Amino acid sequence: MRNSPNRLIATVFGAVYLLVGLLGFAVTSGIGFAATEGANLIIFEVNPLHNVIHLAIGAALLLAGLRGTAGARTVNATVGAVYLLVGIVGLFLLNSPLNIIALNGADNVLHLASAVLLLGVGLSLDKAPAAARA
Amino acid sequence: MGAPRTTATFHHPAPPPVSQAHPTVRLVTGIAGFGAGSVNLAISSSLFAAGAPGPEITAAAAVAGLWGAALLAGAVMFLAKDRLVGSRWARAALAAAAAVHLAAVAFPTAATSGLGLTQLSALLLTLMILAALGWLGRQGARQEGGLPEQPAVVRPARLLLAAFAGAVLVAGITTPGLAASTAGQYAVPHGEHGSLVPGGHHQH
Repeated sequence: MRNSPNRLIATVFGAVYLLVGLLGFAVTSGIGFAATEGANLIIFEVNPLHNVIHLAIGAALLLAGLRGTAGARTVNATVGAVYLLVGIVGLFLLNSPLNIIALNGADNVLHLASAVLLLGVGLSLDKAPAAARA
Repeated sequence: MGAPRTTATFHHPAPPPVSQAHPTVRLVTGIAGFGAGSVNLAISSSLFAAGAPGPEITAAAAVAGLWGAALLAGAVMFLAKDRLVGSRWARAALAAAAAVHLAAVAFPTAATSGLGLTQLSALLLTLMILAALGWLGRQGARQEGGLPEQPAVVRPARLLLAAFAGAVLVAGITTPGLAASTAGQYAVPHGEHGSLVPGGHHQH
C-alpha cells in the first residue's frame, strides 16, 4: 500500500473522514437530521446529515484504499469530481442547496483542498496499477 | 509539441531520472487549474446574475464561463494525459487571461466592481499555473538536452504531503475568490446541508 499514492491517500483520508463522521455524532446529539443550525466539531460545522455523508465517503475511501490500486484511483477521482461538479453547478444555482463551495471558512478550504487533491491524485498517479501493487 | 511524458513510477527497479519535485509540481499545477476554472465559472455566474445590463456583459459572462470550462478540461487533460506542458497556445491563452484579470482588478467597471477579490484570486491562480508550466517546460528541455539530473525514487508519502500543502494553498486562494462572488452571498453553510432556505444566507 505504501507504494501506491492512491491507496495511501484513500486509506488516510477515509480514516479521517470516518473519524470526523463518528465524532460528529458526539457533538450533534439533539440536533435535527438536517437542522439549519449545526454544531461545531473543531472547525467543521456539522449536522447529522453531514455526519452521514462523512461516514459514507470515509467508508468508500477506506475500503477502496485497503482493497487495491485500481479501485482506489476510481474512488479518489469520483469523490473529488462529484464534490467539484456539485460545487460548480451550485455556483449557477444560487438559491439551491448545491451552492456549497462559495463560503469563506477554514472548513471550506479543507473540503476543497481534499476534493481537488483526491481528483488530481486519482487522475494523474498510479497509471500502471499492476506496477504499484505490492 | 507536447513535452515528454513524465508518468511517475513508484517502485520500479530502475527509476526514471525525474526529481521528487516534478510529479508534485505537475499535481499542484493541475489542482491550480481546477481552482482557476472554478473561480472563472464563479465570475461567469456573477455576471449572469447581474441581470441583463447589456450585451457586452452577457458576452463577458459567456467568455468567462467558456474559459472556466476550458481550464477544468485542460486540467483533466494535463493530469490524465500529460498534455499541454509545452503548448505555446496554452501559455499564450493563460497570459492573455492573466492580463484580463489584471485589467479587471485595476480598472473596475460598474458590472465588475464587486468582483475585485474574485478577479485577484483568478489572477493569482493563473500566474501560478503559468509559472509551473514554465518550470515543467524547462525541466523537460533539460532532460531532452541530456543534461545530468540526480535520479530519485518518488516517495508517495512525501509526494502526497507536498501535494496536500499545494492543494491547501490553491484552496486558500480559491475559496475567498468564490466567496466574494455572487454565489458566495447565497452559499449554504456546511452545518445547514439539507435545509432549503429561499433567499440564501448572505454570508461572506
